[in-house]
Amino acid sequence: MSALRFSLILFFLCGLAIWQVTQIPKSTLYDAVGASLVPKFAVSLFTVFVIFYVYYSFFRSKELPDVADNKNEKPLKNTVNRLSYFLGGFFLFIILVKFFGFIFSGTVCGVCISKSFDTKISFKSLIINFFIVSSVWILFSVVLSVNLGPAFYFKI
Amino acid sequence: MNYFEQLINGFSTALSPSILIYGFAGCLAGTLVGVLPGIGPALTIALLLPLTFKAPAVAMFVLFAGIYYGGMYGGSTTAILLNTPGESSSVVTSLEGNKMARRGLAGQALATAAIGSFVAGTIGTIALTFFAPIVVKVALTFGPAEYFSLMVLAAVSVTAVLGNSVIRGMISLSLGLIIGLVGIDLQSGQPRFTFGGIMELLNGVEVTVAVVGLFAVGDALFLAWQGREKSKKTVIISPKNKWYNWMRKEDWKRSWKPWLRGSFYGFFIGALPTGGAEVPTLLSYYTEKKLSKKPKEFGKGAIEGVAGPEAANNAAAAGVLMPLLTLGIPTSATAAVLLSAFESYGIRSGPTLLTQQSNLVWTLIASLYIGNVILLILNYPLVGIWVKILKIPSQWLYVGVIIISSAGVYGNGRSSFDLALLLFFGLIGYFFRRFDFPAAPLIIGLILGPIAEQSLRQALIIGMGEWTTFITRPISATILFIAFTLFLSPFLINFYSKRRKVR
Repeated sequence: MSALRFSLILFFLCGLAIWQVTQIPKSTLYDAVGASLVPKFAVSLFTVFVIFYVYYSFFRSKELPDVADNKNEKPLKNTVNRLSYFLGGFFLFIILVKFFGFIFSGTVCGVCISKSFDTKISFKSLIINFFIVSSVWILFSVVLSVNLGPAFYFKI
Repeated sequence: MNYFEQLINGFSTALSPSILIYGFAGCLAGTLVGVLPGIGPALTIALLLPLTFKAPAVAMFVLFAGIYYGGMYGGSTTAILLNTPGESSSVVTSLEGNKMARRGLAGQALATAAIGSFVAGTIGTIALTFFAPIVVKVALTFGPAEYFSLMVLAAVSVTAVLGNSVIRGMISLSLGLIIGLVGIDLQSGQPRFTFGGIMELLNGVEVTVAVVGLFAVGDALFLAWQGREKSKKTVIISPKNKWYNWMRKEDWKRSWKPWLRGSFYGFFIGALPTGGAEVPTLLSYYTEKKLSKKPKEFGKGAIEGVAGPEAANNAAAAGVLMPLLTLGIPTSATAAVLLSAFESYGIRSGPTLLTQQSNLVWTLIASLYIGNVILLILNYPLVGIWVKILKIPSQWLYVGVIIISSAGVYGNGRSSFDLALLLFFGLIGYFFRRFDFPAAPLIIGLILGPIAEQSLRQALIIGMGEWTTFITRPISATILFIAFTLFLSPFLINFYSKRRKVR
């Protein structure tokens, strides 16, 4: 991922935002200060500055900072693996939490996230993650009465 | 009831055992996160935001204030002992503080930082107590036009001045504005940016989800991508002598003036809409360097270089609260998160906050006085404990951060869609950090956007649809002029510096 690719993502978001502005129904009652006035302004502002950013990323990309180009901060090898474990773990949590409860899905997510920080997937990692997730569940659900659903659950 | 009586009432609430526990917990958590590099008060308050659905407003704001002040105190500990500032505002402290520690004067550096923080925090809070009602009095005369102009000033100043690039700042701000407009328009009932009526988007995007995603998930994702956390080796220099022997007579003599000067810089610069803590700490450092009787010691570990910036840093924390509590303008990332906490409670920030929520505001201010005392006790003798906490492996720390973030968001309605939204904002946070986009303007746009829209509509209705209403009213015109000048200032500075280089 470079600044150019990121600028294209922003450009895509611009397109989505413009499309959404055209979908706002017209209101005769509040036409002068209607529901689309500020959205139009915000999207125009966004579009103008994204175009500037796209221009820079195409023609003057050296002027755009990217941590990946910084000698002291650039990522170590296996970035794709680390990002995949992180995003995969979080995604699994989103999918599993409804079917298996908070602690099981949280532990799976924790194992993947600790793997993304270069910790081996092992029994030790599983136990530590289970401990962290259980502590959070007890703190939120039992002490603070926040409804996180059951700790363990099985429903498919 | 006058403001003094209200402050006394605030003290009686803040000193009640249940609130005091929140204050103590906040100070403890704040110092803890200030000590841990990479986890700041903005992230911590963001993590705790979902709890606002469960705890009373006064208690939570006392907790948040403790975290905010504690973060400022704790940041200096890592800056001095580890040469890794926990906060950007502690960068200057590390310049001299770590050199002092390497010379065997870690105790003196920590002591002048802790006592200076106490002195400056107290001076800043006193200034806040006296100046806040005056600012509110002026601000209460504002109509919708002035209020809208003020929102524009806040957004522009934070976006154009504090970031490294106006373009990236404005992208962040406008994206925040768009996200803030998601949902049903309250005046006309029309859905906006809901992608054909996605049910979960009709009520808008929860500020807490955005804040937690940007700061907590985004930061963790960025650090995982970098992969450098595990390879970082920490060299901690622990003070050798007992804490009560840390400040010698000469150290007191060399520290007290920098404390006072730093407090002055910190509060007044921090209170400006373009404030923050970075500028006053730098300014204080260079002032002390210039005024010092031992200027050659600078760069090798001068105590004035720790005392002044650390005082400025803490006074700025009080200064930042001034525009937040009186005008509803956040001038730092932490202030933006605090503003979103007001949102979570349905409390309208702005000039009416001090009159409509006087108990909350004065309890918060009283808790700052008390928090300063708690923090002095926590930071001065307990530094050994903070040193041990620095050794927690980062992988478990960030698993904790992600699980707490998810629990906070999931706990509010048990919605998988909110978790997906959290991940979406986490990705935005990662890209922002990687490509140097400031996150604070997005939060400010998200929170202030809908309020500014309401003010704009009211002003236009009152002004019979005439846009000139914003420039024919003197206060509104002046504020807009300042905003416009601030917006142009980075371009002009850039232009003139390039011209000078050519010459």
